[in-house]
Amino acid sequence: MTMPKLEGQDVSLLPGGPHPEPRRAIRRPAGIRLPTNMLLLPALVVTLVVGAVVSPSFLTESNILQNIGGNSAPLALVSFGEMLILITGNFDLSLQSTVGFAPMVAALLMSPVSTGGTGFGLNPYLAIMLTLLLGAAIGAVNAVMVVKLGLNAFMVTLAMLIVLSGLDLGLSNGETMSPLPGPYVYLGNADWLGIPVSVWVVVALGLILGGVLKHHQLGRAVYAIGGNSDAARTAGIRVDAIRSGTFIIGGMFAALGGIAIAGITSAVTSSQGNNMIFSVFAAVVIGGVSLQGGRGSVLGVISGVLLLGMITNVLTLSQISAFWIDACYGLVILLALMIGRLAGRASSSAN
Amino acid sequence: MESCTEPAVPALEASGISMRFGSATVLDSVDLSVAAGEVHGLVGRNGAGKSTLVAILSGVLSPLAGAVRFGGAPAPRPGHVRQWRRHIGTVYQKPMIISELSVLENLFLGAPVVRTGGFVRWPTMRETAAATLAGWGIDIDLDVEAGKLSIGQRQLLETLRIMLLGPKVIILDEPTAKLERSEAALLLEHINQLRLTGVSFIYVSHHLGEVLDACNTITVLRNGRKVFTRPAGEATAAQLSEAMSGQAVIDTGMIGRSRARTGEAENSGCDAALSVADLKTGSTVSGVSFSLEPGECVGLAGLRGSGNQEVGMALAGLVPSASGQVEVEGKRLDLRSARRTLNAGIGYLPGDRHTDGFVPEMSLTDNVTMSVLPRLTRFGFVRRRHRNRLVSELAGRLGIVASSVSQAVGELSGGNQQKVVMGRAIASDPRVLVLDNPTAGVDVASREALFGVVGKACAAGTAVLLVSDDAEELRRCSRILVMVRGRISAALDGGCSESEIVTAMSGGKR
Repeated sequence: MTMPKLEGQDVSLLPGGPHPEPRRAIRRPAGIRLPTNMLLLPALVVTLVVGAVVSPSFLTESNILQNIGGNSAPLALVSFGEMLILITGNFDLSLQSTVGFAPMVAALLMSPVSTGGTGFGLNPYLAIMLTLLLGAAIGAVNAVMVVKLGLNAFMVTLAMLIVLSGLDLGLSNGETMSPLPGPYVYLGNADWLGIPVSVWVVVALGLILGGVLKHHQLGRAVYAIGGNSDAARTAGIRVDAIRSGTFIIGGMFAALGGIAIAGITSAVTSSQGNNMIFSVFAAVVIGGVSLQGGRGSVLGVISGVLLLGMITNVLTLSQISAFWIDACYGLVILLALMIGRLAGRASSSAN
Repeated sequence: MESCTEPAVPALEASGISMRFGSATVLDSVDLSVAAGEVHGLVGRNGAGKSTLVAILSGVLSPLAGAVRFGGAPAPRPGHVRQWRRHIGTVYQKPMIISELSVLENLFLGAPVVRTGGFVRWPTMRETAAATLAGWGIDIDLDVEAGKLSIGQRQLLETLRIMLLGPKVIILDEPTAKLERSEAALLLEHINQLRLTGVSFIYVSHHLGEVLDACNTITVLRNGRKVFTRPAGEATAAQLSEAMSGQAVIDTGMIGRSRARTGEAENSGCDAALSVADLKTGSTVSGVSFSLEPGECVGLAGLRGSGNQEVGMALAGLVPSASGQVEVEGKRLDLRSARRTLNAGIGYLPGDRHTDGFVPEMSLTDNVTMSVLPRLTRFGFVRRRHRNRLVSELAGRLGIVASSVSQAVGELSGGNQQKVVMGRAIASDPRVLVLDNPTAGVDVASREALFGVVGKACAAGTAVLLVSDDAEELRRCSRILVMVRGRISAALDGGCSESEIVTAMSGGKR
């Protein structure tokens, strides 16, 4: 597997040749150190062990691939988008509404009047394109308000969230769009070699995104902007253009996540995406993305998403009453954050 | 070196540059011409228009009137940062590095070496960077996060980054303010080398001695106008400071009572204001002991890394690992809490005002009263009249120039910002004042004003510990303790020469 190539900080682990004990040189602290985006590895292992103990069906192929993998894929896609926006030092709450709104518009245009649609009969392939374009357009509107007009990202995207979920309800009259044409739900309900297509897509996009972030000048600019936007600007980086770009790409990732959810449920409900932003933020922050910008990696986000997916799965399998699952879920997130923080501090204690 | 053979076209020529912010004229028809291979000093007090001129010359601001030409050709249009960077690069006083990224990436910030398609060529960049660092004799790990470097190393890193872009003109804004002596020497040496290859420099600094040393030509700005441009060989520091302020500046001289004059036990009831015994911090300070009498101004000299700044921070309660016996007027001090050292009577002025000194968005009033607010309250509510009286009294004492006490400190000039930080340190009427490089990057007149305040504090019985690596600051102290590698290695009397201080700081014999 070539995944380790994507790590944000792995350069620091490459041997840079022998250093001749310099007088003022900065040396890395001695001892074992997990790269920042592998800090979740212990937590993942613990969850895996707990899961295996709690339920014999946890460590089965179908549970791992279908339940954990397939169900985590939409979260992973949306989290990729949020990660990009966060690294540049911005914020987008409205992604969760894009998850519901963009597929809803597409579903309305595809479905016949008999199932609550408009009867327009949109081609499902075009519908996929339309969904992604809607995501991009919502991102562009956010970008104009946040980047060009300088409005507060929290308020703008919160308002956008409310507007979109309202539009979603209004357009659909609160109805669920089902069934949907095969090509539209393919991403969420088909398998290749026994592995959900959505998982393949997450891996492929993750590799591309990780590669671009790590090795492309645009990706490096994304980190520079989040680290110190003044410095980036004076260095000739097109700060505003790149920040706007992350909003647009983030919206597209959210729309794609929405298509994946529609595929899993074979339907678009008017509540699709609701409350998802909490899991998205939990996943990216647990995965080491800094809310101040400048830090974050694909591998970290994937491990954050996997951890949340596994925890949800274990909680479900352990037959805890459904009413208690949210509380447990929240507590586990807090625990993961604390572990991440402590591990992070231990590894940079020389500071 | 002055035998320039009539350079046909100046590397940079600015003519008739005027700039106005609101109703204030910041630059009034300023001309500046820099020949190829020239180091051109640009001096002036804060507010003289240096920063604005620098911003215009580097293409960040576009002037109201006037034109900039590079090698005879008109400058690129405003806003095209990348095109400007080919002609001119600016090393700002404000840190412009990305702490989260590696040294390597910072060196190539905004201009990475890429193959077609935009993917970064790490090996090429690594080779270039390693060669450059080796050429400079700097030993920094390319993979370390830039945020972990010392302030001096960061400054060098920024300078290197600009030089790597290969512009014909490089502006250095206070380039040595944050550098250790050896680093400053290294920088000046390389300026000279690059100069011989035809690169020109504009050297902005408050440090007149340094400007006279490093530059061929010096231009003085005052109130947005050019006072004169003349060859460095024909100018003296006194002339320059006079031209900068428009009047002769009076040197306040030595501060505080000297021990010899006061005598050891003049005041029998009052023992040492501060006594420090066997102070240690994690790895830098290994056992430091000294004591200060009331009204004394003692220098704690030392180069960056010698541990003198850590002693200051430890006294302010900012070093959790500090241990040792520290007493303020005979009372034991708890070094683990900044709040307790403050209450015990220690006022502290941090070394880097931009990062630790003030909150730029907050007003002058809020910044000055930040650490004494609890004393100005009744039932937790701020007593505005008390607060305003204190602030206007302090602002008057320090001579802070601001449109009002509610102006945001970030909008003030550097010298006035430092006065605000000083105001915060003395707001609590401390028994002991710990000042870390109090006049770094501050113009001559503000420097004198700051020392005037320190002098008055001493006269009122406050003991001052002046932590610094700047001999010009240290020579005003009545006694100087010199730290080398975490220990006090020498004690000098007041009135010794700057070169004696420098020699002692660099480890005694040379």
